[in-house]
Amino acid sequence: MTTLLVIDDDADFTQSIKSILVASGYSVETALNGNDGIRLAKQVKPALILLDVMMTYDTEGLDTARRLHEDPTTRTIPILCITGIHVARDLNKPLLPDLDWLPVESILEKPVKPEKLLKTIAELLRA
Amino acid sequence: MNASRKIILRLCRYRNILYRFRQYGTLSIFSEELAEALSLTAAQVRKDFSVFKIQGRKKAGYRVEGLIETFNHILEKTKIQKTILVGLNPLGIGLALDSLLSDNNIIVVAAFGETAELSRAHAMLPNLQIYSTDKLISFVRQEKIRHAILTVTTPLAQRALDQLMLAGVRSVLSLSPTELRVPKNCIYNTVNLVSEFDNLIYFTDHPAERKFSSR
Repeated sequence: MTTLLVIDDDADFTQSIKSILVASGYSVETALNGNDGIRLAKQVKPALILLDVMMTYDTEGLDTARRLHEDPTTRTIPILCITGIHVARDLNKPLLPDLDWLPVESILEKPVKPEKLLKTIAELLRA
Repeated sequence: MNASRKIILRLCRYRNILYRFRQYGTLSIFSEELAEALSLTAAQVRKDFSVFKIQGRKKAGYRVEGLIETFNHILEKTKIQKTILVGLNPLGIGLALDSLLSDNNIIVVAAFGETAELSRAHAMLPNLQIYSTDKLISFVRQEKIRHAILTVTTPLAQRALDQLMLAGVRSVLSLSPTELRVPKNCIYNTVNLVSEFDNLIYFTDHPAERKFSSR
């Protein structure tokens, strides 16, 4: 069974995402902050990481993505960023993957529709 | 036109030295005179000028006033440029206290620091808006700030830069000694004072290895 890791400090969001993913046949691990997420990523070697941006501080997801990308044991795991920072901080520019600054494969805006989420995950797992 | 960072830095030096020439009453100047004053070659000066389509007059050189006007226009010195300062350590406070920036139409409109730095900053910079870094994104968005100066010397420098990028700041001058990850679309200049001094020490101790090149 394909294992996915969700790193997000919003426990309600994490549980609802987990329900959707489990119902779609994935095994799901969850972490509520970047440090726990990195530790779990090393342990379970998920096929994909779903990562929030705003956690303990506004940019924790950026730090977490970089640390995962720098670590040879986790750098090949694709990361899907799921963030609500645009609404929360009234940002006017879309976040884009950037190899050095934001090393993630794809970015989705919260709220994300389950069909869109599952489609993006399937595409990233195929890549 | 294809202007490199080095050309723009030289343009600033031309502009500064032209003000001095003007102060002495010089009306016209040749590329050779500018080159000599700045330890460059006349060919380099003419090449830089040609990038901006600046033409001299045969046997009369360039008009000093005209050059100053042109450089001020190119460097947007006729407009006031708003910036913010991130980092209320002594380096940041010193920069905010000095008139170096304001004398050059660069106005620090607010400064941001960690909670522990705020009370000292308020006392030393009573006329400046001082905020905690957690207000950074909202301030930048509200005031439409495009430029920032970063003096944070701790590991929090990256976090501060990330906030600036998320908020939409387009260019950053970093005086932080920390190597920072910068998005591709950010215009980022960094001056690492320690590295610059290490460079001086090295070439002081190894003078024979110093190559003379256009600055």
